[in-house]
Amino acid sequence: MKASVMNQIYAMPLTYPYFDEQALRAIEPMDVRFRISTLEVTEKIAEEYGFSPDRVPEMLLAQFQAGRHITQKMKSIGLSSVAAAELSGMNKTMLSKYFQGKRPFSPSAAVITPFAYNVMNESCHKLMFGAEGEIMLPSIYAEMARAMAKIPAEEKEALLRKAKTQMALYEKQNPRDIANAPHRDLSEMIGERIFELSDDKGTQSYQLFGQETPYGVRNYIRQFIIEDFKRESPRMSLLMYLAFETGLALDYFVAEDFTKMVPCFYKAGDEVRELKDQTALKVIGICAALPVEVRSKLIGEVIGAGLGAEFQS
Amino acid sequence: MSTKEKETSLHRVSKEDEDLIYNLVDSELSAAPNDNAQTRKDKEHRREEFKAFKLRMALSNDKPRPEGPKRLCYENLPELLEITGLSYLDILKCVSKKPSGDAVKPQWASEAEAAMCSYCDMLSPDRREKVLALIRRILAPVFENSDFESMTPTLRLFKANAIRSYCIAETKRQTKELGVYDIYRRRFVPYSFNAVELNMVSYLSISFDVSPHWLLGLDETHTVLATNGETETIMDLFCFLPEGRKQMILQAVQTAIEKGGAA
Repeated sequence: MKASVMNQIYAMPLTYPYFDEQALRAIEPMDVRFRISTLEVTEKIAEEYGFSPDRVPEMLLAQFQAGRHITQKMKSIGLSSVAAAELSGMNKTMLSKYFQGKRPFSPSAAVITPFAYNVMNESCHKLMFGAEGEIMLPSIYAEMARAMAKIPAEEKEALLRKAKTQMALYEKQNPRDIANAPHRDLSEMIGERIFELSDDKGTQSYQLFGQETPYGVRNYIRQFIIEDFKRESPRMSLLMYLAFETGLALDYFVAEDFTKMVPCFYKAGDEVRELKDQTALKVIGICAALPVEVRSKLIGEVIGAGLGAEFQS
Repeated sequence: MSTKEKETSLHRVSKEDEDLIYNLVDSELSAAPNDNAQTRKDKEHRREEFKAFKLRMALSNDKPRPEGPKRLCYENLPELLEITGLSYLDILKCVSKKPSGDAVKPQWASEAEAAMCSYCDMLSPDRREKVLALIRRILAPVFENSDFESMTPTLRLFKANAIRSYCIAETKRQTKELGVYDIYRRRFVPYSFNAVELNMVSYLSISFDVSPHWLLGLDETHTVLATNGETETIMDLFCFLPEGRKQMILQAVQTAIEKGGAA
């Protein structure tokens, strides 16, 4: 039974987005969805993370589909697994296994950004979900976007130069070998991103999705916010769950500069606007990449510049 | 409004605090040797008014509730302040103490808050409005949407703390550590004696990082630590911001003042 279900999964056509509800239900036989949830690996994930069993087959399927998508794309661009591994810092053996297409693509959170940006040239969200994601900026970044819209071009350039100097200084202290790889501890960064969302909501981080948040997710979020638990590296399934439930692109959780590949939106009054100003995007991206103690002054200065312009008007 | 409803809306000041406040007023209104004739006359007039106020409070002491409060209540404080010319800060300075009995000075919980208050006091009213709008955009809506106004100070304090704190067990531990577990325990009691005692307002506002102005449920016409009512409203909300965001907003206001001036 188990082998036949796996064969059915392997035989599924590659659809975009990967777990489009209708496409999933259209697959014959109709009970494949149910059967996936009875697989040992699914049960293990559901039990370990406390995820809703409804979500697990979707995420597992998405990971299978991502594996297939990568294989197709790599063949089309003619890039070997060794070259891809060098560009992304991924394990060569693991990558060649993914390339065979019969394995769910579930890389470590630390290598997914360089792999998606450097090798696949697409966002992490597109890579893992098969659809373009979007980011509704948390209020502090949205305020930066509003401030940047108010200040003159020269001042914006000056702020960008300042941000770049800060980043260069930080990169000098924390060098990296591969482009787009995170400079700092990923758990710490994900913790900060979760805090940004919970600060906006005024709730505790582990209650980000309300009282119904599965216990496993709550425990995992705690791992990011409590120092003692930071030893474990964040798991892709959890990050996919966070992206799925918050409606934000996966890049927001895994990429240091999440503005590179994903469109960002912010609220201006009752209106939702896309942030298209490249200077503003770059400044926000740098601020997001820097650790909190370094960026807080920079963010304050950007918002202050906007407030100062308001004062003068 | 029925008698019962009236009762529940009154938050009494403890007998000990009441005595301290009356003593403060007595010393403030007593004639000093270097007072000129006008000041003496003014003080005399205020003393008369204060006597009438005190009598009104005392008369209602032995009577059933409809006639008025049994003792000095939070609701009577604005009238008392108007008569005597004192401020909330004077009263808090006089009565504030820790659960151990040591005196505590009414002040902001952090340097960032103190700096923000002094910056906002410097600003012109329209600029203060812009700062308030900025904080409102960044602050989680739950702090403004919660029905704090209708709550007693105790309930308000612990409701805000429940939103911000780690968990209920953490709040219990914190209150026990601060020596205010008794206040925490009676937060849901629907009568006047569940109010935070006036002498604890300063200590609790520092310990739980809230504005004393917000804790006392005052509006823009009254001030505690700021010199301006609008600044108090800004600070009420500013105190709810997470620590990192406080620093960012403080830096933003500082930059804006450097760039655009205060007035």
